[in-house]
Amino acid sequence: MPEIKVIINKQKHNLIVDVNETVLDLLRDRLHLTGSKRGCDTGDCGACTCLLDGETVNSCLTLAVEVDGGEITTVEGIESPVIERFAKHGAFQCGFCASGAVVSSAALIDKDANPSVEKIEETLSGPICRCTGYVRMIAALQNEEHQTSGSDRHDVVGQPVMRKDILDKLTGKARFTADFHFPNMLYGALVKSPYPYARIKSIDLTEALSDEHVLLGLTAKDVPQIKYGVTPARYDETILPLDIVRHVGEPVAAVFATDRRTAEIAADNVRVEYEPLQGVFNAADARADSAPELHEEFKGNVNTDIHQNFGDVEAAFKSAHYVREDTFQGQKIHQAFLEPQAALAMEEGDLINVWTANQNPHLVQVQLARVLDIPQSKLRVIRPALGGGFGGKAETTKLEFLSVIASRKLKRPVMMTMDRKQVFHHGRGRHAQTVRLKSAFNKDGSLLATHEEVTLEGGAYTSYGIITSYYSGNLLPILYRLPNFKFDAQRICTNLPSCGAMRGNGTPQPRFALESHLDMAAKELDISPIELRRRNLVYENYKTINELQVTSCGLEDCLDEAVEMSNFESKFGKLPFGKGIGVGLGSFVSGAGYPIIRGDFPHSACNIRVGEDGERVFLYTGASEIGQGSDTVLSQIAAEALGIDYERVTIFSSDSAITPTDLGSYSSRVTFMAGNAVIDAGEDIKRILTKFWKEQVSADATELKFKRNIVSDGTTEMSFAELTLKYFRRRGPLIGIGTYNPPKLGGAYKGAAVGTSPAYSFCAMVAEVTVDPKTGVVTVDDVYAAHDSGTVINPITFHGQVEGSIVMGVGETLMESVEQKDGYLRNPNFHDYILPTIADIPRIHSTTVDVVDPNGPFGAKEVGEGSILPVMGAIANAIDDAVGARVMSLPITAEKVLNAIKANNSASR
Amino acid sequence: MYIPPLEYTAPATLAEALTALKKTTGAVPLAGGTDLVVMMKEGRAAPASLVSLRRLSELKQISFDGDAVALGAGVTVTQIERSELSATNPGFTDMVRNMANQQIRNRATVGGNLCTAAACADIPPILLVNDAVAVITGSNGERKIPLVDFFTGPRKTQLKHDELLVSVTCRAKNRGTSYIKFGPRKVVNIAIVGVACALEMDGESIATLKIAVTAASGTPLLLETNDLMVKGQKANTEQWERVAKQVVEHLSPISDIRGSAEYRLELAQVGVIRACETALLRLQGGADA
Repeated sequence: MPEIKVIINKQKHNLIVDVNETVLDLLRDRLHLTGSKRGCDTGDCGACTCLLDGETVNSCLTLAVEVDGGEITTVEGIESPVIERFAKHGAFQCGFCASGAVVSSAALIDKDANPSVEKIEETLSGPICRCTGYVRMIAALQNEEHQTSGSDRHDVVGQPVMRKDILDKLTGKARFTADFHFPNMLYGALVKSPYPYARIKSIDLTEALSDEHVLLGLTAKDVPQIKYGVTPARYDETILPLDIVRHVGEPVAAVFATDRRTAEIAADNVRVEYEPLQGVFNAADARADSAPELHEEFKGNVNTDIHQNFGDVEAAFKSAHYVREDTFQGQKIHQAFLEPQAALAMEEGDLINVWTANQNPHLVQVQLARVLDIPQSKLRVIRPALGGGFGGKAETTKLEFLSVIASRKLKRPVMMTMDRKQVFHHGRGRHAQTVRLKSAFNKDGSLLATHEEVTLEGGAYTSYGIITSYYSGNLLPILYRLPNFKFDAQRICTNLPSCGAMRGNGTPQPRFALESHLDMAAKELDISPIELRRRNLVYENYKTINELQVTSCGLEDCLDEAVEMSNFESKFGKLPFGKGIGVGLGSFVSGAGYPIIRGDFPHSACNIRVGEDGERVFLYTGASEIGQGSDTVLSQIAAEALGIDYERVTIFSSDSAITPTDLGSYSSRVTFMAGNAVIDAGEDIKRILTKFWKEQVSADATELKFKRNIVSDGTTEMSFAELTLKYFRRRGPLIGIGTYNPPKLGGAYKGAAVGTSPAYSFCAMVAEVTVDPKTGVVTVDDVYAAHDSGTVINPITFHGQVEGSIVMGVGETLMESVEQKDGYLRNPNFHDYILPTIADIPRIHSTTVDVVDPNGPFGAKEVGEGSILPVMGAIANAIDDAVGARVMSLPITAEKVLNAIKANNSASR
Repeated sequence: MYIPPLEYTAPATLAEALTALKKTTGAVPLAGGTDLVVMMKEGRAAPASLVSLRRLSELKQISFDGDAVALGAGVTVTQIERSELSATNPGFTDMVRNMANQQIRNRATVGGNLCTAAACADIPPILLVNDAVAVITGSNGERKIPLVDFFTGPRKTQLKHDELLVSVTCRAKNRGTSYIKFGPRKVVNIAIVGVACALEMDGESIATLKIAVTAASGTPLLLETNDLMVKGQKANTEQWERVAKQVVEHLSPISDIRGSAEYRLELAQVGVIRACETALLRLQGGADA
C-alpha cells in the first residue's frame, strides 16, 4: 500500500493509504477531522470541500494517494473573517453545508475582500445549501450592514441574536451523527433489493462472513417481525422483510464490519436469490383489475380512502354564475437534506445510547421500545447536530433498529449511515398528487363551492401517507372562505420508494393547483387576481366549513403588503412580453392539534434549572433542533420569560435521558408548542422565587418584576443571580417545570383531527419572472413575501426560514423531480436530481405584518412550512402573465413552457 | 458507495506511463478524477489499475506559439481560466463559466474531459471551432489527428489502450468565438445542448464560420464554412437562422432526463443563432466575455 506525506491543517502526516481511499475517507474515518461532510460522495454537493495547495477541491473525488506531497486545509484549519460574518448574518441553519461554504468563501475573501455578486456566484456554485437560500451568505460575503432589525416590544424576543449553534457549525466543531467515533466502533451496511417487486427465495451470508473483519450478518429471521410505521392504524414495515420486497433499494439484510468500506464490500457479497414479480409503478396501473395487491390489507392497492362533504357543492355548481374545472399534476420531490441519515448505537452503563439523525427522536424511542421489546426508558435517544430534515427524517428507519440490534449482539458501538442513493431509495419525499378542482363562483368572484379530488401516488409503504392524504384537502379551506366543500382522496401503493411528509405535508401541490385555478377563474371573470382573492380571504376568528378555527389572522394585511411592495397592480398584465408577475397565498398549522400516537400526555415538556451560581440557566427540552433554529428561539423565549439575557441561557435539547419529552420537529409545532412549554417553566421558576421572596426578602411583596437580570418588588431589587444564589443556599436546586397541551380542537367527523391547530400562519407572495420565449427558460427575478407568523422571535432565523423556503420552492417549481422508469429511479444522486444553486435564486424581499397571536408564545406562530406554499402558484401565475402559457404540471421545466408557448402560437394562427 | 480495491502507479515520465499502460491489462490513466472517481464509485467503471498522470509536469503546460496554443492534457479548466486565452479567445471564458463548479474546475483536465468523451462534454466544442488537433503518444511514437476525428462515439475515442493524449493544439487568438450552453438550472449543468461558434469577417461579409455542438449527437458535431455555405454571405439574423436550420439537420439527439430530442433540436437552433450573434458582437467590439 502506498505511503504518502501530506500536511493537513499545518500538521505533517506520513500515512499508509489504500488506493481506493479518498481524501474525505482519510480525513473523516481515519483522522476524525469530521468537519468535511459526506453529503453526496459524488462531487455534487460541495460539503466535503477542502483546500489542496490553496485551491478548493471536492475531497470525495480526490484519491488520498494523489495528494502525496501536498498540503490540505479543512474547515478546522480555516482562519478567516468569513466565519464571523456568516455567524452575524445567520448565513446557515443546519450547518451541514457550512464547512464547504466556509472553505470556498475563505479562499475567495482571501483574494478579494469585497467580491461582486458575480464572483460570489462563480465561486460558490459548488456548495449546495438547502436551508437558508444563499441570501444571507451573499450578504455576509459582501459585508453588508446587518439589515435584519429587531422589535423593541420585548427585551430578547424579537431581537436578531446570534444562533446558539452557528459558530460550532462554521468551524467544523459541531458533531453530526456520522461524525461520532468511539473506540472499537463497527460499521453496518445494508443489502438492498435490486428489484422493484420480488419474492426473496434465499439469502446466503457465507461469502460475506468469510472475511474476518466482518463480524455479523442479519436477515429477517434474526430480527423481530413486528410491524412498525408512523400511524398505528397503518404499521406496514418490518425491519427486514421475510419474503417480499416492494421497491428497489429495500433492505433485505445487513452486515457489520470493522470499517465502512469492508462492510459495504461484504454487503455486495451477500448472495440473495429473488423471484422477480410484476410490479406497478403508477397509480392507474396499481388500480387496474389485473394489478398485483402489494399489501393484503390495502385492497386494490388503496392505502387511504377519504370522502368528506361539507355543505352542498352540487347545488352551488348548479346555481352559480361561473363554474370551472381544472386538473393539475404534481411531481415527487425529495427533501434533499444535505446530511444523509445516520444512526449510532452503543450500550453504556444501564442504558442503550442511540444517536440518530432524526427530527422526531421521541418517535424513534417509542418504536425502538415497541418493536425490540426494550423498556422505553432504557433507550437513550440523542439527536446530535442535524443536517436538515424538512419531514424526511421524521420516522424511524432501519438504521436505528439495526444498529441497536447489532450493538447489543456484538457488545460494541455500531454506526450505520446511508449514502445518497440509499437516501433516495429510502424516499419519504413529497407525494405526486393529481389534483382536480371544480369551483363555483359568483359574478364578483366570491367562491361558492369547491370540489377537490386528489390521487396520491404513495410508493410501497404508508409512512406519513394517511396524514398527507388528509392534509391535501383538510387544509384547503383555511385560506379562502368556502361555504361548500367536498374532498375526495385516494392514496395508492406502488412499487416505488415510499413517499412521506415533506415541508407543507400534502398541501403545496393543492395550493399550486388552487392558486393557478383562481387566476384562471379571475381571467374568465375579468377580475384582477388580487381582487378575486381579496373577496374570499378568511379572517380573524373565522371557522371553516370543516370546523378548523382561525384565531389571529393577518392575511389581508399580507396581501396588501405583498401587492404594495411589488407594485403588482401597475405591472400585472402590463409588462412587456416575456416579463410577468403573479401572486400566491398560503396558510399552515402552527403544530398539529393531535399527536401522531394518541395519548393523554403533554405535547411538549421542558424544565429550566438555574445554575447554582445564579449566573446561567439551563433549559432542557426534547424539542428537536434540526437547523430551523429552535435551540436559539427557545433560548430567547426562556430568557424573555425569566427577564434575563439571552447569553445567560444554555440549552440542552433532544436527549431522552436528560430532556423531557417533546413530540419532535414536524407540523411546524416547535416554536408554538415547545415555546409555550418554556414560558410555563419560566413562570414556574418565577412562582417559586416569588414565594421565596415573600419568605426571605419582603413579606409585603405582592408581585415581582423580572426584567433585564433584575428582580424587583417595587421597593427592593436584587439581581436574578443574587436571588437565585440565595435560593440555592437555603433551598437547593431551583428547577421550573413547563408543559404545553393544545386545547381540544376540531370537529367530530372521521379525519377531523388532521388540520386542527391552535394557530394558523398566513402569507402572501408575489413573484416576478423573465421567460425566454425562444427556449422557455424561466428566471425568477424577485419574490416579495409578506408573512403573518405572529410575533417574530428572531428576525434572522425567521427570514432565513422564509428565504430557504422560497429557494426550495423555486427548485420545486422549476427543476426538481424524482424520476423513475419501471420501478428504477433515474436520478438518485445530485448530478441528475438538480437543486437550486446560489445562481438560481431570486432577489427576496421578505417582510411581516403586525399580528400578535393570543395563544402563541409572546404571540408567535409558525413560519417553517407555510412559507413554501405560495411559491409554486405565484411563479406559475407569473409565467402565464409573462407569455400567456399556463403550465399545469410540475415541475414547470423550460421545455414545458416552450411547448405551452408553441401551443398558443399554433392556436392563435 | 465505494471504489473497489485496485492497483496504482504514478510514473515520473511519459515513457514510464506508456509502459505502465501497455503492460497492465485493465489499466486506466487517471487525471483529475472528477469523472473517473464518480464512475468507479457508482460501479460504471472498474479499472484493475490506475496510472496516475499527476507527476507528468509536461502535461500541465499551456504553451503559446504565435497564433497557436498547446494545452497539455493535464491542464485544468482553472488554468485555462487564468491563462491569456480568456482574453484572446473569449469562447474559452464562456466555456469555463458554464462548466461545473469551482471545485471541479480546479481538478478537471482537458485530457480527462476529451478522453472521457461524454456526449455532453463541455470542452470539445470550443476546441473544435478553434481548429484543434489532438497530439497522441504511444509506444509507436507520436501521431496528430484533427480533434473532430478523435471522437468515435459516446465515451469512445481513437485512443488505443497503450496511448496517451498528451496535448491539444488550437488557435490562441480568435476574437469572434463564443459558447452558449443550456442546462436545467443557471450553472453547474450537464448540458442539454451546448453550441460553440468561431466567426471571422471580411468587411461586411463572412470569411469563415465554424459551429460545434455538444449533447445533441453521440459525438460533438463540427460544421465549417464550406459545410455551411456562408463564405461571402451577409452576417445577419436571417443568415444565422438559415445556418441554425442547416446545423440541426446534422444532429441526432436522444431524449433523456434533461430534455427530449425535440427540445434539444429547438435549443440547438437557438444556441446557434445566439452563439453567432455573440461572436459577431465581439468582433464588432461589444459583448465582452
